[in-house]
Amino acid sequence: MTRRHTRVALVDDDESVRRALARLLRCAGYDVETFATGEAFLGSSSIAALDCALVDVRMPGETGLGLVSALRGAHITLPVVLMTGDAEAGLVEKAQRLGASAVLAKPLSYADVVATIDAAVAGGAPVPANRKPAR
Amino acid sequence: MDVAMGPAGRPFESAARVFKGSWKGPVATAVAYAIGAQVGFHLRFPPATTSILWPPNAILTTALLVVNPKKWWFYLLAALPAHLLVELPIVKPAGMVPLLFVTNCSEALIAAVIVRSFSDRPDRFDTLRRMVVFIIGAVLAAPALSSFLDAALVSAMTGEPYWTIWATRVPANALTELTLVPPAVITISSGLRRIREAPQARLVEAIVLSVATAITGLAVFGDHIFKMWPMSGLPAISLAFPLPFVLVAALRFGPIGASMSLTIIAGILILTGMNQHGPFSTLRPADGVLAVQSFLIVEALPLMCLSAIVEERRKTNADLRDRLTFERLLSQLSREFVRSPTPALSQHLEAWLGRCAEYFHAEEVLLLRIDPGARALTVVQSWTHRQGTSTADHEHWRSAAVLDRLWDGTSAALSDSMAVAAMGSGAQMFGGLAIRRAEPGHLTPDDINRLRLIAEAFANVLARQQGEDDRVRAELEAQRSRAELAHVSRQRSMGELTASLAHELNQPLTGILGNAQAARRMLGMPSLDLDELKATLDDIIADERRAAETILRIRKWLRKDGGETVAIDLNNVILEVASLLRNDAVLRNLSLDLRLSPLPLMILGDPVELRQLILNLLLNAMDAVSQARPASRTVSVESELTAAGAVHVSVEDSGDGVAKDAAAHIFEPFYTTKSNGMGMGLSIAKSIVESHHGSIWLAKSAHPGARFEFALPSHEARP
Repeated sequence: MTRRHTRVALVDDDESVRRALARLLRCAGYDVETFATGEAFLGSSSIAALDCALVDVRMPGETGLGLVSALRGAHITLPVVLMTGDAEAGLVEKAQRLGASAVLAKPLSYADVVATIDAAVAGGAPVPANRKPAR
Repeated sequence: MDVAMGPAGRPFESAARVFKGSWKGPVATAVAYAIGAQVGFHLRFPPATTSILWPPNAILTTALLVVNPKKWWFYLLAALPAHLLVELPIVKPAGMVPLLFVTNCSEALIAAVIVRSFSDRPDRFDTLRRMVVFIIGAVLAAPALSSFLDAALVSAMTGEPYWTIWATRVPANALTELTLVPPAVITISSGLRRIREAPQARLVEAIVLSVATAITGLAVFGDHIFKMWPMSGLPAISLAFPLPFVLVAALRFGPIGASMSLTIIAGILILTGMNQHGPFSTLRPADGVLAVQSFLIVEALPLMCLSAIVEERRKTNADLRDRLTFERLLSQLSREFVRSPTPALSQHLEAWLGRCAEYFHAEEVLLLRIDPGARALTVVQSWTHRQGTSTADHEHWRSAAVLDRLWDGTSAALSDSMAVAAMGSGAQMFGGLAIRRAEPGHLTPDDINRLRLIAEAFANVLARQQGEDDRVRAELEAQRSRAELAHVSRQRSMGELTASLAHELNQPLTGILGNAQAARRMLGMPSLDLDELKATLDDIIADERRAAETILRIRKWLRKDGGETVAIDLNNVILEVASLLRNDAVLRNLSLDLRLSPLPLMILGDPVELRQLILNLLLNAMDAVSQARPASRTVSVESELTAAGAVHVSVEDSGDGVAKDAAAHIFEPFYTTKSNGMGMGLSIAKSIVESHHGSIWLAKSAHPGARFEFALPSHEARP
């Protein structure tokens, strides 16, 4: 599998979500590292070794958007896929402007998440039109 | 209340009825005059020519006392033919007959003028004053004065000595006036009805007394007793024997009793005297006449006065008793109306109306209410003597005449037997009390006045009922609108929470979907890790539960019903709402501090409303801090049981606080300082606190932010 050694960071404050998505990503063949907060992720030493990050938008403390801008501010080009539970107006555009690769709507489907991460890792077009978060 | 009073307060109504028409009265007078003259001529002790009684003058006096002075001439003129008819064949010379008519008339005129001038009721003899006026005017002055004229005429025509004529005429006329006029006048003006209405026992008593008087009189004056026990000196005291009967008659039956019994005795004395029996049989006839007259006058004067005094006392007592009965009734009604709780009022209304009916001797009493809008009357409650009366039977009370009187605020008799009294406050009339008696002709101004006073007591009931109706209606209205508002507000606050709730629901759904898809992948893997699969399924179940809980919470929150009052721990309510908001608080980057009392804070209340109360206060506080720096966004909730036994809760925020001019309006509906606020949150909180008998206020805070506090009565079972 091409993604045998693809390393994905999962950042979500909700433990059960974190566990479920980590399980899903592992089943898809990614190497997964989880973080409970944006701060923990940004302070991690393994960022450089990562291929992609799947980040929740709404989190206490550092939010998903904050995390993207922090990475870009540090000139880190790591592809970031955001996920959100609600359809905040202008979120997709904002994410795109900040440099996120895509925004996925929770709950995530296996096919979507794999396709999006693979595209992000491959440096493909960020945020496909049909990937707008569902209302 | 014996004398009839018409609607216009016109006295002598039944006299007018007896003398109805323009000719019946004068004819009756003429007939009575003729009979009276015949009787007078025969009541003599022959060979003396003087009459012991002379009824014609007294009959004229009676007529003049009863009829309107404007009609006097008619009555006097009617008596002239009777006078001529009776006297022309007897009196010689014939030329004296018309002159005697003039003197007879002069006596009646003098009597009537004096009595009418000085008596408040010339047709009644039931007070000492009325009786004394009658005695002075009709018994003393009229015979004395008219006799001067009479004696002069007779003396000139016959040559008899002037003073002899005067002295024989005065006692005869005085005695007749005294014994005949009061019973005649009383009978004409009110006596007939009195006899008709008198209890049977009373009639029997009167008959027994009359018969006993007659028998005693006949026995003693007819000399029968003294023939059986001839004892010297006894005839002289025989006059005393009938006295007890006269006294009893005077005491029991008043002036009419005294007059009647005196008439019986006079009749017996005259009858026996004419047969040379009785106490005066030893005297010369002329002296016998004078003796009989003197005896009767001397006996009658004090007896008539006594009977008047007794009557007056009796009447005063009756009035007093009646007044006391009335006052008792009025005070009982007023007291009960004030004391009874309003719902109990209508239950007892009929019984109270029944008591009024009893007092007024009415067979129907109604409590009416004016419907100002329709200008119509409705029967609030009625009491009627007959059973099974339907409201349709009250139609005669709904007439325009009744409504007009009540509308004008008047209390008046509508007819002989119907009266209404208006009730209202100030110029605003809202109802009336109406009574109807079975027998017509009974309603006096006194009755109307008392009806008015009773109506005032009932007005209180109507007013309270009206007030209670309004209050209950307002309360229901307020309750309903509060419930509506609370529901709307709950939906709104739900809307405000949608973002966090969506997040809260999405998290377990994300977990479930992720785990389920992962599990499916695991099943397709060559090496199946059963433990990992089991853990995955467990996570799915846990997330499923979590989602269900959230949904349950939302459903509970949006529930529209409520209104159930239960004992509830307010700490639990605060915890419940806080858990609902916790996620929101996290996302808004604010800290929600709960410092709740370790003891349960039991209160009586509606859980739905109480959750709403806490939610509104917390959302308000969370909105207030949203503009502050994230590090200092704090909302803290404290709860405690005060020493005074109240449950006290404060919600403090670290926002900018409430501006001074806003503080006065902060609990008013639709008052808001937020651009997207509806201004309902705090006003709903206030109405909820107040419906739970508590109070809410904006407290002084040591910090810049706002501090809302509320207190509710504790439902703690006190040790």
